[in-house]
Amino acid sequence: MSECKNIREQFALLLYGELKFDEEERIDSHLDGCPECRAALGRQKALHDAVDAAAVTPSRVLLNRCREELAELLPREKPASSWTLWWHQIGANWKSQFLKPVGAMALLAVGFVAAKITPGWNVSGGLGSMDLANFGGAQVRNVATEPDGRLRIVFDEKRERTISGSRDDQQIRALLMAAAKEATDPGLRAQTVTILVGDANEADVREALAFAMANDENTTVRLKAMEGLERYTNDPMVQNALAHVLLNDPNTGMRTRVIDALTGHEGQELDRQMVGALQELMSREDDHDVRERARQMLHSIKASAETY
Amino acid sequence: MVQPSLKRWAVRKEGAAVDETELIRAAQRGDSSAFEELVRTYDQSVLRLALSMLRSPEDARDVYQETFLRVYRNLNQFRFDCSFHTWLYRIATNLCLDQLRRRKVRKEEPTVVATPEGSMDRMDAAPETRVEGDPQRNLFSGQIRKRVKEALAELTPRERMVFELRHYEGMRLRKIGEVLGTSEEAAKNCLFRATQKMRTALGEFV
Repeated sequence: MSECKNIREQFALLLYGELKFDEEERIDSHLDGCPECRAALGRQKALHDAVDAAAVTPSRVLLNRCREELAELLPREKPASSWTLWWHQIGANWKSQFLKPVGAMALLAVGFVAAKITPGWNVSGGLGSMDLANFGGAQVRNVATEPDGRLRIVFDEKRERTISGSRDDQQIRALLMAAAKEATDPGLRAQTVTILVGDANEADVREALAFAMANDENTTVRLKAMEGLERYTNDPMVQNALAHVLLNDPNTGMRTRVIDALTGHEGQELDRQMVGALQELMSREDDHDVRERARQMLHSIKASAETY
Repeated sequence: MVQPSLKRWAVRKEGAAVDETELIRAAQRGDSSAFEELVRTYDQSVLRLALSMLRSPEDARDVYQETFLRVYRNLNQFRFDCSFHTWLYRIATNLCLDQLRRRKVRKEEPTVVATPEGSMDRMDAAPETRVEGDPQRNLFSGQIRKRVKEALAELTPRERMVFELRHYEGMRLRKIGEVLGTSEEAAKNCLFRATQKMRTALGEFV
C-alpha cells in the first residue's frame, strides 16, 4: 500500500509532464497491475479538469482599458535610451573613454540635421551667406531664440584631422575602439578589430572586443573579435560576452566556436552564468553538433545537461 | 538556432515577422512602436496572470500598468541574460506576490464586494468566457469554480503563484524557478504541496 501511496503522490506531476522518464516508467508499470491506482489517476485528471473550469480570461474591455491607460502613462516616463544596453557589463573606464567620440558623433549628427532642415537661414557672425553645404560637419553647441524671434546657434566647424602614433598611444587606441563600434563600413570595423586583437591583454581592449563580438552585425567582425578573446576565457567579462553569443548569435559557426574556445584550455573554469547559458542552450539549440558539444562540455564539468 | 516553439516572434504592422531580439533592441534604442509591439505580444498573458492571481480587475489593472512601466524604465538594463518573457514575468509575479502578501496582512478579500443584493464575487460578474447550454452543467461548473477559487485562496502566495504558472500558464517548473528566483526542485516541491491542498479541498467533486 505504501507503494500505492508513493505512486499516487506523483500523479499531479505526472499530469503536468514534470516527471523524469524513469519515474513515469515506474508509474506506468505500477498502473498496469493496480486498478485502484488507475481509478485514483482518473480522479486526479478530473481534478485537473475542474481546476481548468475555473480559468480566468480577461475581457476585451478590461484589456483595452489597460492598454489605453498605459498609452497615457508612458509618455510621462523617461524614454528608453540606446547607450546602456551593454554599458553595465563593460567597465566604466572604457566607457568614459569611449563616450567621448560617441558624444562628438552625436553632436555632428545634430549639426548635420540642423543644416539639412534649415535652408534659407541667414548666418551672421562673419560667415555672411556661406553655402549651407559647408555646415555638413558642424557641431552645434547651443541653440537659443533671441528677442526678435531669430535663432542664435553656436557651432564648431568640423575639420578633418590626421594623427599618427603607435598602437599603445591612448588617443590612437580610443579612436580605434570608437571605430570598432561606430564605423559604418564593416571593412573598417574588421580592420580596427584586427588591430585591437594584438592588444587583447589590456582589459579595455578586451571590453571593446567583447562589445564587437556580441553586437556587431557583421559575422566577420564578430569572428575576429572572438579570435582575440579566445585566450582570455577565464576573464569573467569575456565569459559573460561568450554566454551572450552562445545564446543569441544567429551564426552556428560562432556558437560552435564559443564552446571550442571554452574547451580548448586546460583548467578552464566556468562561472555560473556560463554554465546556465550552456544548460539553456541544450533546450533551445537546433544544431545537433552545437548541442552535442555543449552536452560534452557540461558533462566534463559534471553539470546537469538535462532539459525539461 | 532556436526551436520555433521557443523563439518568440512578433509581427510588425507591415506583416513581416521580426525576431524578438531585434524588437527589444529597437525598443532599447527608443523605438516606441517596437515597445508597443512587445507590450502587445505579452500583455494579455500578464493581465490574465494578474487577474487569475488577484481575482480583482482593479488590482490586475494596477499590476498590468506597473509591470509595463517598470519594463519601460528598465529596458536598457535588460542584458539578454534570460529570455525577455522570463524577465517580464519576474516583474509581474513579484508585483502579484507583493499584492497578495499585503492582502494577507490586511486580511482583504478583494473579489467579494457588498451589493444591494448582498455579497457578490466580482469575478462572477465578469462575462463567462465559455457558453454552456446545459443548465445543470452550468450549476455544477459554477459550484466547482467557487470551490476552486476558495481552495486557491487558501494556498500561500508562493504556492498559489507556482500553481497558477504551471496550471494556467503552462510554464515548465524550470522556468518557474527562473521567474521566481528559486530552484526547479523548490518550485516542484511548492507545486506538490499546492496540488495536495487542492486535492484535499476539492476531493468531493472528483
